[in-house]
Amino acid sequence: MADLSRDDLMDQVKQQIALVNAQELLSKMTDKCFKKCIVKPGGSLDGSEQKCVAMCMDRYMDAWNVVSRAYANRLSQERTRMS
Amino acid sequence: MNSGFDTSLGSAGMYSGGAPSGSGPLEESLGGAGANAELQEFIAMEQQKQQLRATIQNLTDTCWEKCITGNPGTRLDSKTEACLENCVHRFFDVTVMIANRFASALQRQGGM
Repeated sequence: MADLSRDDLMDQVKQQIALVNAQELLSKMTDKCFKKCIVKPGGSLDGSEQKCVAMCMDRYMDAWNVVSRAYANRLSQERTRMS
Repeated sequence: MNSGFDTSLGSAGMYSGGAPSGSGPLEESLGGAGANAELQEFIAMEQQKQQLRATIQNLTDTCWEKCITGNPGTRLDSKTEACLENCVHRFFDVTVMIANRFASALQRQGGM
């Protein structure tokens, strides 16, 4: 750590944060989509469950984007309203 | 440390997870005593980004439960999208409302 340059350190921190964020998103999606798509666990993931999981994952990421856009908009609205 | 309750709506005020503020052990081990102002600023910025991210994650979680009923389709339809947007705005409204009510409740009790 002593001979790590500041930029290297920042890069490492950023990478670790990105990794943690990806893991969190992954586990959230797994959780949500398992709940939604696997109603009664059978002997294998059947075709319709697989299709559901695939859709669910894509829609979860869409939802994430919609929410983050809406939240960002609201924050900037509130800022202009208060200034 | 903040009290975890803030009516000013600063940035990602919701869900303030009690991120360490000021100089903590992490900052100190990275140079300490203001020697590494740039690093400290970097850390503060990253903490703020993470807090914003946590808020969005939480909102996505909550609003997904409210708005995505039935099986997920090939795209988010406009109704669902509107529901998600409304969900974000109403959550924001509730956050502000509760913060204000809680603040005046504290004032009435003469506390804080």
